[in-house]
Amino acid sequence: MRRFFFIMLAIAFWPAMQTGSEAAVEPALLVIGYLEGDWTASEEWDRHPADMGRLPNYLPHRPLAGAEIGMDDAQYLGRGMGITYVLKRRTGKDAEDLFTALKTLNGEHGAEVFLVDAPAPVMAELAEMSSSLDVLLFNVSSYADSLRAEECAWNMFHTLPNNAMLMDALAQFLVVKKWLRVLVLEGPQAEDRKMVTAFRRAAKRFGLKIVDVRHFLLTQDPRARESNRVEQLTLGDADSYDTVFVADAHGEFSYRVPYRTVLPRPVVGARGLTPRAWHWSYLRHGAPQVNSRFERKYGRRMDDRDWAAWIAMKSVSEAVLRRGSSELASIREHLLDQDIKLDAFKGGGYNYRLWDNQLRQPILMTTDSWVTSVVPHKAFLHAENKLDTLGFDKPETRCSL
Amino acid sequence: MKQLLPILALFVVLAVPEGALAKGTGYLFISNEKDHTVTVLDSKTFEVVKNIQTGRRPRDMQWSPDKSLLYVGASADSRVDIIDVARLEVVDYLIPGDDPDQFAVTEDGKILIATNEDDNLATFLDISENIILDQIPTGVEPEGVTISPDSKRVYITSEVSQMIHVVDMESHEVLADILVGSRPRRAFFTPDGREYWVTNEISGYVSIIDTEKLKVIDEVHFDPKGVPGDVTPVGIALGPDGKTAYVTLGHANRLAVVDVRTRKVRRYLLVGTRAWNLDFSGDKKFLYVVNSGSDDVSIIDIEAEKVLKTVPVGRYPHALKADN
Repeated sequence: MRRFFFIMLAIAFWPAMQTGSEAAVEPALLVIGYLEGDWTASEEWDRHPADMGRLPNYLPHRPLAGAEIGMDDAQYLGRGMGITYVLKRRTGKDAEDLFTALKTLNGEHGAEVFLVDAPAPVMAELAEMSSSLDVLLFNVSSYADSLRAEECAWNMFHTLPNNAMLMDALAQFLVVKKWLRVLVLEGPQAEDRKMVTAFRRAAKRFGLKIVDVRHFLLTQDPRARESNRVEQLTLGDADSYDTVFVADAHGEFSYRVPYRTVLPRPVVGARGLTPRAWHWSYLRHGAPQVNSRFERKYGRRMDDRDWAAWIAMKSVSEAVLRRGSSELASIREHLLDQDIKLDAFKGGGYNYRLWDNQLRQPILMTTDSWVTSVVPHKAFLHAENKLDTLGFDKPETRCSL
Repeated sequence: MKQLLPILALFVVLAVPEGALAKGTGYLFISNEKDHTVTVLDSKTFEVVKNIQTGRRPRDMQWSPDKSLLYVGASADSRVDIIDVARLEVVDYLIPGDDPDQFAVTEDGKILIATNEDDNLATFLDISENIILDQIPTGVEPEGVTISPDSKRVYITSEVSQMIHVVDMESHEVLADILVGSRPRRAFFTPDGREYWVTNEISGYVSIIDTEKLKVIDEVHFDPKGVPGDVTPVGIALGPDGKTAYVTLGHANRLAVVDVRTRKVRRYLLVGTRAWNLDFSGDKKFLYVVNSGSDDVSIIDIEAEKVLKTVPVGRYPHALKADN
């Protein structure tokens, strides 16, 4: 039998039941920091001007909304313990700025847990700078593999899956479908190259054959039509490729690829079938409830990063609830407990990898309007944990914490 | 089938005064979330007697005390439809707040208590007047509603807040919030009212609460052989003998048979995909398990602990109520 937790709440503590005569117990404030970096040099995958135009309040939208909705949920968990959660947002243009904000929130408000929405280099720098302080960071917005490898940090947790996890999921899907020969279209951005690197690794792990890598350009230059016309880029014999993988972190090119390929083949990657942490169309495991709560409040759809911020808040508030303490050491201990089952609304209970602080999770294979499959597929086995078939497994980790 | 109905109606009219001895219509009622219907099956032949059109997304179902009425929560239309069991038709509806998820009806048939998942509320509704008496705040995403055998308390599960709210039936005051596992769903009380058993879908076990101490006293864990990954218990019911509990394990496609006294799993039976809710036949011989992922119902011989057959119903079946 496991440890049991029990909280009994005096009626007087129940806000709605209060009549005003009881001596109110001063609730303890638990301040969570929210640090927002500058995304001008965006590494965002799947951003598109048309998408952004439809989002009046968030241009481009940030996962703050996800953190806020996580905050709403956390209040209920904190109530029984007399804890009120407070989210304090600070912005900064670089790691230095954010570190100053972090120190202020830490010093003045006692904030020890921070959700960070910043590009990978800033995230890495911030984790390094704050390593001497007693704080804990959640990366809620960078897919970068480097943050889970050579740039990993003991004080940095990741709720968003990294590119390697996404690409492994895609590779598993393609292998199951027997679409083994893949034509890769690679964009000019550094992030596009990183995506191809992750895909190459996944192809090797799961037995896909990359038949060719062709480079596209986002231009209209008629002299560059071999690089800017999908028809030219996808030339091939009938049996030369089964599927087209588009590596396009910014998403603008990939929109034009489906249905324009020379051979009638499915498009995957940045467009077509896309691996994601979360999707608005998911109908199972309580996902419609959280999606609808989010949409009613923010008038837009909840995406990967919103989900990552939401589950980071949930990780913290559950740690506080289950351990009965808001001490940082106890939160940390809970997060690293391999027996925890975090309800991430994706069907199971999940926990963090000890070797790189990455949240284990299944990946949703999505079209524009549907979750086609949830990966890992049952055909892929693992000695310890099936979820470790996705991303950096222990034997291959380049992170040393 | 039409010719049969007047005869059945007559039978029901005659049967009702017999009270507890009433054998019912012999029908099984299954709510189908995606068809917006309640399928009526003959419990002997398993032929479809009728598909009753209901409000959108029918889910939980509960009887009136004499079983002449069946309440069907049509959550997408924010109402509870009332099916006249003799006529097999929706004759009226109740409005217990927004998006009623699960609900319970008091033993005297007067009050319906529903959870409003999106609003984090529980609604107390006067059935005869169709008036909301009270709405109380719950944790995030309230779900299962279970009334204690002495009718003095109602226990409400809160999926996201991972708590059981113990509510006084008279004052509607929350007497306790009891922390359980992750995503508590459905529950039952032992007949003596001393224990409350609740499924935790994500944590994968059943918590047993001592209703006097208002404290978790034990857990029932599941380990069906050859099932990799998560086991997700959702549906739970106490068998007619009062000694056996039945728990549906959605992901595992299994039904666990649990000895209530020892709190140990005795056997796992293979059922359909995403097995959720369950009910027993009036003669206590059969157990019906609704498989919401395979659009069918498993028929189980209780004594033999064997699945006899599986019969198709509508799309995304949710609950089953037996009237045989």
